Formats: sequence, structure tokens, C-alpha cells
Amino acid sequence: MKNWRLKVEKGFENFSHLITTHRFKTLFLLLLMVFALASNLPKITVDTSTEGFLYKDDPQILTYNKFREQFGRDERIIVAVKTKDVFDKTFLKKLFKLHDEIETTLPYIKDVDSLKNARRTTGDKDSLLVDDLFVDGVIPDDLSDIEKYAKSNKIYKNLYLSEDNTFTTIIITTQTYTSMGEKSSNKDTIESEFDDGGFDDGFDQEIKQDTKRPEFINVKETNELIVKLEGIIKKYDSDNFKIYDAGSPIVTKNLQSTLMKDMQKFILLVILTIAVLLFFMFRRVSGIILPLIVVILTLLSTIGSMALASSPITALTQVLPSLLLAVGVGASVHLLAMFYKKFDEIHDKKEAIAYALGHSGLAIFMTSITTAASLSSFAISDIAPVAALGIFSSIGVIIALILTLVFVPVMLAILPIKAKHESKDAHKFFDSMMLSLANISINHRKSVLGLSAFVIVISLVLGSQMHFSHNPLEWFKKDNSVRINTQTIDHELKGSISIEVVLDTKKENGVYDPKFLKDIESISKEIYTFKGKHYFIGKIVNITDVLKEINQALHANDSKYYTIPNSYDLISQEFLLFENSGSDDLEDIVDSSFSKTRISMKAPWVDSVEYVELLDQIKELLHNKFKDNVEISVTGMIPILGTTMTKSIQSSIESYGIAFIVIAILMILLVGSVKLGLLSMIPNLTPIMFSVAMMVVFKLPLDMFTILIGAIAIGMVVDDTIHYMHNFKRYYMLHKDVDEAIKLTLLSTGRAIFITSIVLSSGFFVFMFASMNNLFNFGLITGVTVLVAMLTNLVVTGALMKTFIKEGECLTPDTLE
Amino acid sequence: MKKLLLVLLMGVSLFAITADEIATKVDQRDTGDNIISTMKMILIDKHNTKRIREMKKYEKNYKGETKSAIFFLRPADVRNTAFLTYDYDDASKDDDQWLYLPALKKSKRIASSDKSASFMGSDFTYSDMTSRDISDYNYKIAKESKVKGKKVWIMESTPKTQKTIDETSYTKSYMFVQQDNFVVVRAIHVLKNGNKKYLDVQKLEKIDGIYVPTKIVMSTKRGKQLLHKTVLEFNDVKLNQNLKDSFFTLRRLEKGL
Repeated sequence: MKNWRLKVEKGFENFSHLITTHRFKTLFLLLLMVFALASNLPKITVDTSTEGFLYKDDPQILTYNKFREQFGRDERIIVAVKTKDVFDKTFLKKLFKLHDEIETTLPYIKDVDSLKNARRTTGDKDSLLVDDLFVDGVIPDDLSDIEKYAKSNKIYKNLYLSEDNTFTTIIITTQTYTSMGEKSSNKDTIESEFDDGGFDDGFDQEIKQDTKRPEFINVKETNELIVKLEGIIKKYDSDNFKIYDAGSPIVTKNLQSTLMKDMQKFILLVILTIAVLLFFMFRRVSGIILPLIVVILTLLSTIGSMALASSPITALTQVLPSLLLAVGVGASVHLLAMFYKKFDEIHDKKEAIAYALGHSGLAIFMTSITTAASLSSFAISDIAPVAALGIFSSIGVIIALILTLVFVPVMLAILPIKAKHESKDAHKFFDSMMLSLANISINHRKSVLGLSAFVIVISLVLGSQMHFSHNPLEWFKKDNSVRINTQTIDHELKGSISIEVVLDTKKENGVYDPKFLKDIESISKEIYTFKGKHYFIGKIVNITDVLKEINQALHANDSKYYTIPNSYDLISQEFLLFENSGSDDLEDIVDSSFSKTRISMKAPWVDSVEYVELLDQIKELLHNKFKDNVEISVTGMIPILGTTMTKSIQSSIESYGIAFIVIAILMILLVGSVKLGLLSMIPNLTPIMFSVAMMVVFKLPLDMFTILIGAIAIGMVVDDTIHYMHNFKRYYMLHKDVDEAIKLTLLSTGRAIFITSIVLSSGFFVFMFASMNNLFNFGLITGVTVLVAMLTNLVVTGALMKTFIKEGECLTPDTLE
Repeated sequence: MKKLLLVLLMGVSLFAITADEIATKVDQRDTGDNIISTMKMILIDKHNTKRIREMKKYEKNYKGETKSAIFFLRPADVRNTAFLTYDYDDASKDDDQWLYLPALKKSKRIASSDKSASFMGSDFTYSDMTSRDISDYNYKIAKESKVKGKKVWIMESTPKTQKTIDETSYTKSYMFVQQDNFVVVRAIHVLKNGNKKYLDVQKLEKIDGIYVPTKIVMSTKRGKQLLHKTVLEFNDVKLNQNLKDSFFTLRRLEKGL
């Protein structure tokens, strides 16, 4: 047992000789592996959609898909126009022109709705008229009749018209399914159908469901539409025609474009920072180039393997490149430091490589494993992008490990490198700094440990006040146009995203039942009273609106009849009439056999925490009202955001648990002592607790990003502890003196801990250049955590050793080795 | 070049009859008058859920217009709901339509300018149910082919004006005209929104010497995906029933069957 470490070191040395002897073959094989993975890069996709946070087989997504199959896509694009008087003729003319241009030039649209084609149902003594508000889009000379109708129409309110009539909307509904792989309706495809192509499903045959289900419209298509829309909006936007656009597709699209722009910025900044730090550390070309090549190849292979696994880049996985760059460089720094030191000493490259690999190989291996282990704890997350981040970042760390252990030695063997005489001055500053840190842990151990304990206790208290938050809109900066537009529309038109309730009576024509319809009416009324700190329900559209409208029109427009008829027969006849009236509006609210119906609720975009509360209220009300008679499903963007949030919290707690346990076990195994292994977790727990306190004090939100920090940080900062303990043990066994061991440890490994911590924290601090708040916070907090961890590892670990190892205690090789 | 010319010449000689002549023949084909039939409409959605409606239909031609009365038989809750329609040959004139709701004991005139609206919630539109004005379209023979062993011309018809497109919502249609009787036995309509509608006459009967399609299927598809389908069956078709003018009045409508 006691010699396993020596055996491993010998093994690494032999491995080094093997690969440096066959350096060109090894290099070729390695590059082949990188190329095989990286060649998939062009296939990488991006997904920033709201539903993209959940797995495709998540129950919430399955419900949502069922909803979309029945009623189409609920995510609409709202184009709101502000003016002094909506019913001004010049304004209306321009509005209709915009409506027409949107309708004729945008791809993938299903419906475009505005005042121009809003349904108008009116009646008099012996006739009934269901038509567009502006018949054939013609603006009559006298608008007073239309204006009166529109202003009093309950359905138009907050849908097409704001309460003060200064805002009107054009609502765009996209196609439900993707058009990809579907040829345009040109003559060639038509001709191929002349010989029975389209007539294959005769009546006697059951409808053949395609074995492959059609895919829903994708982000790429929606974005193409939005880009065209933005071009049109730019042309029309003017003083008395101020345009605001909102809706979750717009948020998704802007998240994506910002993300792609930011990601390139981050990668560049991290590479630059690393290069500068490497220059200060090594002052050698090879010392800059080699680690950089390692991390860049790591990045290419990792993103390549994401593409291979068709895992898209998401709002979360965008942190992956900078994370990998920062984490991946550490290992090669340790290896190179050891190599240059030995090489300058012995001037034999091959031997120096073997020495460096022998001495650092195990530490590099262990630190990479702990980092990968803690990152992979995210793989169990119910939030798809978090799991992807966990899986691919740990794959990346392993790739970086392989490259460091193989590529760096091989390249060192190939490249012409000259030995240097190191000036001792450069170390002087570090050495005195490290010595004073050592003295702090030795002489003020009680204060150090007291402070640590204080931080942990305070953080536990503060942590209880922490509130979770998930609000992609707030990721945008306050002055971002998407955020402003959405907030304007939310304020003026009472909401931009939806909750969709589907009530399934499970019997044909079940919707005709007057009691059922009256229940829908009464719950809608009650839901309007639900209010939270920021949320409210701005608009509810349901089947009774259509029915009441037609019932009133059939009774000579008498508003007394804006009610649900009591007779089942009358209801079914009125619906039949409506179906026959030329309006296809029923398709969007009820299925063709009148067994299911939909209630759409519009609400403003607020923090998902509030939605969870709102949804609970709605679900309770629905269950109390309909009991088991009706199958209830609640879906739409708001429930998806809500589910994302609850699952995100649950999964993160699980991930934390796993990360801590796995790392504690690894530490115990590595140190060879349960006591010391657990003690070594304290310097790593303290910085995380410190960050918790910082977040509460500075009111930084605990969101999907910041909740990851703990589990990401622990795997990285524990590396410092591994290096510390590795050296401490060596020196303690040699000198049997804790104080001496602490000093020597800091003098030997302190510098490497310092440099890698600076590199790591810089890798995260670059996120503060992000255009989005969530990333700014993530970068800031993780960066601070890493720096605090550096400090605790340099000081608290020593203080712990000083306190818990009794002077002269014999650490047997078994406990320490 | 020579080859091309040859092909062109052969093409011309193959189609001895011109596209416009075919269109005229189709338009002028005797489709019967004073018709009574029972119409069964099966609506099938993409989940294969079926709804059945049964109606009694009376139809009579007048100069410049066609009058029809439709009474619902099934389902029971809409029994005796009835529609009376005056369909004018002049396309620029909106149809007149009245509706009788038995539960309300009232009839109402329904005004709507939308001809592309669904007929009774089916895949057929009002314009599908009435004859089209052939002067609104340009015709071209796209191909000769066979349907169920019978030779057909596949006629490509393109609306001349945007107005016609807006009215029917078809940007183009392909009519499969059976060569021996000038009956349109199949059609493909390309819709403004990119969907396609496939009409298929599955049963063609000769009643009193007149060809009457008695089972017609119309499927609406997007790409290969079926969105909705309607099967229309005509039973007990009787021609030349000498229907009185009084049959096509509101009073008759309100009396029910």
C-alpha cells in the first residue's frame, strides 16, 4: 500500500518515455482523435427556447406537445403600436399596410390578427352578421360605428386594444410544425402527386399516421421570421406610430443572438487573459503556446462531441467554453512548471519530461478527476441544459487531462526548447508573501478558524433568506429593447405570455353542456381576481366568449343576452351556426368533436417564483370545480417556466449533495484518513458559504446559473487542497514538525495555487463583460468564490493542520500515504 | 432544337381538344335539376375522430341562380336546423343565406362575404359547393393520365385575378377531368397558406342518364400531414322532382321536415 504512490510515479515516468520515443506517432493519433470529434462542429445547433430547458420527455413538455398538436402554437408574437388615437384614418391606413406586409412577406405564419380582421358579430331583428371589423380591409368614411363597437367589445379589450385606446396590436401566430424537409408547393411536387400521390387515404382505409411524427416549428425558422419582421418594423416605426414587439419567441431569439455574440467575446477574452498570465508565469513561448493549444483543442473536441450527441448550445452551455478554457489550463501549468524547473537544472529534455510527468502526473490526474466528478453531478439534473453542461464539461475536463498528459510531453519533446537560468528575484516577492500567510495559519490559527466558522454560521443564517428566481427576461439589462418592449406591452396590454388550460370532458359534444360552460365562465371570473406581487391575469379567452357573443347577436344585439343559453340544443345550434358563419375561430378553442376546450390566460412576464404560486391557485380552483368529471391539463409558457424553476431547485440540491459526497470520498481516499479528508473539506466549504452570504447582502438572485456555482466551484477549488495536502504530508513526514511543514508547503506549492487561482477566477470574471445580467452575476460570484478559496486553502488548511495534528503525532504511512 | 420542336408538335397533336374547350364542356355538363338527396357528412380530424352529420338537401336551378334548402337530420340536438341559400351565378354578388334555429324558433339572414369559408365545418368551402365561373380562370392541359383505368386530362387552372384567389383561397387548381364524360373526378387545390386540398370522387353513379358523384372525399394536408378530411355521401338521390318555388322560402324553412 505504502508504495502505490511510488509505483504510480514510476508508471508515469515509463509512460513519458514511451510517448516521447514514439512522439510523432502519438501526436498523429492524438490529433486524429481531436479531428474526429471536432469535425462534427458544423452540426452544432443553438436552442434558447423556453421549453428547451426541460427534457423532451418531461411530463410538462409532453402535455405541452399534446396541446400544440390540438390547438397550435401558443407562443405568439405581439406587435403593439402606440399612437394618439387608434381610430384615426391615417393611422389605420398605415396599420393595415403593416398588417398586409406582415401577412404577405413573413414566412411560416399561420394567422395574422389585428383590428383589420377582428371578428365582428352583430345582429338585428332578422339578420346576423359575422364578418371582419373592417370588411375587405376597407376603411369607411364614417368610423363612428366601428369605433363604438370596438371600444365596447369585451374580447378586443387588452387583445387588440389597450384600455385607454392608445395601443393596438397585430398578433402573429406561427405555423405549428416545421416546414423543413418540405418542398414548396411548386409544380414538380404537384406532378409527382398526379399518380395517386395525395389520394392514398381512401375512406375505407384508416388514416395512416406517419410513423415519424412531424416536428414542431423550430427556433431557426421562428428567428428567420423575426429577423424579417424586425426589418419591416424598422420601416414603419415613427413618431405617432411607435412599435413595440414582444412575446416569448422574441425573447428566445434575442437570448440566442446575444448568447452567440457574447460567447465569442468570452472565448477571446479568456484566451487573452490566459496568454498574459502564462507570459508572466513562464516568460517562454512554449509556456504560452502549449497550454493554449491544449485548451483550444479541448474546446474544439468538446463542442464537437456536443454536436455529435446533437446536444445544442443553450443559455447555460454557453458558459462551457470559458469554463473549460480556465479549468483546462491548470493541469498544463502544473506540468510545465515542474518541467521547466527540472530542465533548467539538468538540461536533459527527455529526462525532465519524465521527471515532470512522474511528479505531477498523479496530482494532475486526481485534480482532474475531482473536477470532472463534481461537474458530472449535474448530469442527473432534470433541467436539460444543466445536465448537458455537467456531461460535456466533465468530458471536456477528461479530454484536457488526456491532452495535458500526452500532447504537452510529446510537443515538449518535439519543440526546440532552451534551458534558462531562472532569476531568483522573481520568487522573492512570492516567497515572502507565502511565508507571511504561513505565519498567519500558525500564529493566528484560532482567529482564522474562528473567522471561518463565523462565515459559515452567518451564511447559514443569511442563506435561509435566499430566494430562488427564474426570469429569462431579467437576464437582459434594464435598457435592453426586448425587456423594455415586453414590459411596455405587459403594462399597456396586460401581458405577453400565457397559461393554457385544456378541459377534456371525454365525451363528444361534452362542451355543449350549459353547466360546464357556466363553470368555465365562473372560474374565469374568479381567476381574474388572482393577483400577486407583480403578476395578474390580464386576459382570459374561452369558449363562452364566442357563445355569448353569438347569443347576443341572435337576440337583436340586446346586451341582456350576453349570456350562456340554458338549453343544450340552443347551444349546439348556435355553435353550428357559428361554424357555418365563415369564422374558423372555433378551431383555436375547441377540438372538432367538441369534447375538449381551451382556456387561454394572458399574464405579464414576471419571476417564475410567482408563477408557481399562481399555478397552484389555478390548479386548486380547477380541481375543486370540475372534480374528476373533466380531465384538466395546465400548460403553456408560464407552466413551463414554473416547472423549470421547481425542477431546477430540486435537481441542484441533489447535484450539490452528490458533488460534496463524491469529493469528500475522493479526498478521504487521497489523504488516506477520514479525519483529515473531512477536515480538508472545510477550506472549500467556507468560500462557497461566503458567496452565499455575499449574494444575500448584495441581493444577487439565486437563479439557474448562480445555483450552479457551488458545485462547479467545489470541484475546482478542491484542487488547491489536493496540492496542499500532497505537499504538507511529504514535509511533515520528513520534518515531523507542523509549522515547518506548513511553511515549506506554502513555499513550494503556494505559487502554483496562486497562479492557477488567478487564471481560474479570470476565466469567470470575463463573464462580467456579458450583455446579460445572469452571466454577469455568475461570473462575479464564481470568480470571487475561487479567490476566497485560494485564500482559505493557503491559510485555513494550515490552521486546521496546526490545530488537529498534535505536535509530534506520528502520522503513519498508512494514514497519510 | 429540332427535337424540342418535334415534342411540341406531338404535344399539340396529342391534345386535339383545347383546355378552354374542356373547361367549357365541364361547365356545361348537365348536373341535374330539382334534386332531392340525403347528404351524409363525415368529418374526420387528424386524430381520426369522426363526427357525422346528416342532412336532407333540396336543390333547384333558376335563371341566374340556384336555390337550395338543407335540413339537418342528425345529430339530434341540431335536428331541423335549416339553411336556405340563393347562390347567384354572378360571382360579384354575395349569396343570400338564411338560417333557422329550432331552439330559438327564429330564422335569421346570415350575411357573410367569405366564400372561402368552410361549408358546415367541413373541408369543402362554399365555393367548392357551387360551380365556378370559368371566365375567372386560365386553363392549361398539364398532362394526360388515368384515374381508376379511365383516361383523364389534368387541367391546370390559375385564377386570373387576386380577387378570385382571395375569394376561393386557391392559388392554383388541378382538375382531373374524365375524358369520356367530362366529370371532374379528382382535384388538387393549392391554398394561399401552402396547404393542399385533395378532392377524390370515390363513387360516380349514373342517375336518369346524368353522372352524379355520390361519394366525395376532400382531404386537407400540409405536406404529407393530414390535417382534416371530409367524406360527403349522397344517398337516395332523386332528380327532376318538380320542387315547388314555395319550397325555397323562409316559411317552409321554419316548418321543418
